[in-house]
Amino acid sequence: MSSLRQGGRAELLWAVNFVAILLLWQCVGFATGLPGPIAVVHRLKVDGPELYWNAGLSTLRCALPGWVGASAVAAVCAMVATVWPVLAPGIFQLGVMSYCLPSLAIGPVLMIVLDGDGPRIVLAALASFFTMLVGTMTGLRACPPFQTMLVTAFGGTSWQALFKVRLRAAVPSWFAALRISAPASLLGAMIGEFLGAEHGLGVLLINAQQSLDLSRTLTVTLTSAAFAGVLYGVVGIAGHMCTRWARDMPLNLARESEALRVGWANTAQRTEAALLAAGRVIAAVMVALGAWWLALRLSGVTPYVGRSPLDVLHYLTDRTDGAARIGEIVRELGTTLLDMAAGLTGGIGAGLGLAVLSQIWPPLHRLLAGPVFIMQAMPLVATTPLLILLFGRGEAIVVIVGAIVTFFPIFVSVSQSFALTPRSALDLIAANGGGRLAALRKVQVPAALPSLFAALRITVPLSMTGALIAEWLATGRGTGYMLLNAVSMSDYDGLWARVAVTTTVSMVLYGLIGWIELAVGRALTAGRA
Amino acid sequence: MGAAIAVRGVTRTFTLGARSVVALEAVNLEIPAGTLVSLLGPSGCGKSTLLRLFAGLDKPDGGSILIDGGDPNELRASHRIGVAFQDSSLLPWRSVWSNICLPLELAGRTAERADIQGLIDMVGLSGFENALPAQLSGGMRQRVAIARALVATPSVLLLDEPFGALDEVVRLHLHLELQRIRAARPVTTLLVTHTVSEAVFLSDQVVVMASRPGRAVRTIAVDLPYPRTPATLRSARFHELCDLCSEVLFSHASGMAASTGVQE
Repeated sequence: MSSLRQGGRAELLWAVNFVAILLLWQCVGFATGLPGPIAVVHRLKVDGPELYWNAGLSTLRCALPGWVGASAVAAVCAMVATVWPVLAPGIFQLGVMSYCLPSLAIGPVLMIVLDGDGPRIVLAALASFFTMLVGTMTGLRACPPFQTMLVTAFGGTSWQALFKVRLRAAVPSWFAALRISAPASLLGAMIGEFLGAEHGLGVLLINAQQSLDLSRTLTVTLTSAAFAGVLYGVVGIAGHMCTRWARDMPLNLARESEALRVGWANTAQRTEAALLAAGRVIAAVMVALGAWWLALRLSGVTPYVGRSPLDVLHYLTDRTDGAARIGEIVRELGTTLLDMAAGLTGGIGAGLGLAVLSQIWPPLHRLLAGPVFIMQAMPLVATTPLLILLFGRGEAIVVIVGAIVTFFPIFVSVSQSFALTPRSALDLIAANGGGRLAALRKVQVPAALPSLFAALRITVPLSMTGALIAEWLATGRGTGYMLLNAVSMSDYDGLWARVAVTTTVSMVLYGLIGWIELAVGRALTAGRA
Repeated sequence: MGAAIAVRGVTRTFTLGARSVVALEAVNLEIPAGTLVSLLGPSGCGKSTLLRLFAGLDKPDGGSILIDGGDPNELRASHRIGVAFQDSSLLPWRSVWSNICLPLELAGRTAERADIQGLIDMVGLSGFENALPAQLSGGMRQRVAIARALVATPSVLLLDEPFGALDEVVRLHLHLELQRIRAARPVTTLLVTHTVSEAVFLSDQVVVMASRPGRAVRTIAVDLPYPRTPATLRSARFHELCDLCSEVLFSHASGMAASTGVQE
């Protein structure tokens, strides 16, 4: 069995990779005086492992209910969307909205509205909902049409087709979504803990960072990575055991969400599609405002802290201060967006550059496989406090956070796209005397552009959250700082206004990049259609 | 076992945006009970559309299809149609055994172990009962699909290019198997194919179809004696019939007759 032998070799490669990373890290530690693996182990012994273990368990207590709840709601939503396709675009739009809500912005609001573990559970749920929705919807659409047709031809009913075929066929994609949303739910809970909690990894992390305790910050970050990694691994193994019949297919959130969106866009004529899109945007705004208003009503929070959309409108259009307030919000947002843009550019450059380099020099690809795999199972944004201690509190930190958050998805997506290049296309270039670079320039990079934009679209809301956290904890300017400042100044109108603004901007960016992605995709396939 | 099929003036039109495409125009066929009839034609001649109508998966716009005097949809709902498609359409999470049992499950019937085992032995898959589709070769997957199509003892067997993706050797082998199976269970069979030799080798009648609009242009009776063997493939009569089918096929392919002529 050659596959077994290859499996063994792959594991050996992972082990070598892992040891190499540890060694490299220790060497960097010796050279720069930063804590290496030995320092981390030492710290673990000094503090006692129970400290980290208990903090991890506290975080899990919030993350797990949020994750499971979001998965259940997403499953129901996806089934409704499959049975009544008319509702699918609306449900999907709600998913996008939940994904674009910056956790750091919505967090303070949730802390006002809910008590106990509530805010952290909801943040964990928000962080995993969209992934679960996309995964379940993709799964329910995964079976080829002839499989359901077969059930019909043998005299089966459409319910039998749902239970015997569709739900079974959805399992691999459902597990894949479950796996990648596990670290996300942990991150959601941790951001909730940043904002204020009694226990948990987030609390430990923020305290260590604020007392400039680098080795503890690093140890907590690694602990959170370990918890996320175990969750990721356990779900991965469970999924593998339940889906032995399927090829192991990682869920590409960027590609699948695009496929779902384009699936509906193509059903209508062009003008009709434009009208539908406009209608959907209006509907989304109405739903968002409605949800906002309803949440305030249901929670029974005092109107003093729970400001309604109308209150915010008054706040922004106030005769005397309105213009000044708008000006302030726009200026802060400008800072945040500029920093984000720099980070995104850096992340794209590094991701695309390293993907291209590892095509030209394949050993690089094997070298990067280990770190990239580990990072996929890691709550990346939760490394922000560590990055602040490493890179300082200067303006650069927002850029660095953005670049790191962007780099991994871009690198993974572009590399995947490169790997999918048809052999015949490469042979064609080679047969005509073109080299490796010509193949990249003429075939692979253009073909990878849609997946690049797709990855970027998926990353933007995350990098927004990263930027807000970095501003709050480090630079002390921009929207992230002002959000939390508004909380401490009891300027609740300002808080709600900023939540609305950041969410809107995040959604607009998501939509804009999605539009570019679609246009690039169309341009590439124009000749074929 | 087996039902007679009567097709009278069947028409089916699809609308794609503003255009309407005539997939089938005034098709008339008589298929005697227990025979194997091939629908032979180029892509787009509506042969798969016709098969979907037989399976009760679609309804004609005009004309009628009667299977033993009844509506195909009733036959479908009473689990008396067996189907196999080109890409075998096995459910990847089910074993060979459990894939074959699917039609019985859908009909709410219990599977007799001995019957299933007999069917598996008949298609030559003994020992592979618990294998998953991914562990089988293309030819083996098609055998499972055929066994599955037969398991509920259907009145009509519909095969949509079931051998299309296989190589020549495996294909001939399965042709002989199908013949053997049908000798034991003479079920009325409709085979959609675009391979002339396959149609002639297996059929009692070959219905040659043409495209734009999709229609049946001629029915050719195949008078080769049974059982047909690899030697049949070398007989003069086999080649005459193949030539006749090709001639009809190409004379109706627009623009083809002039440039390629009839294949010898």
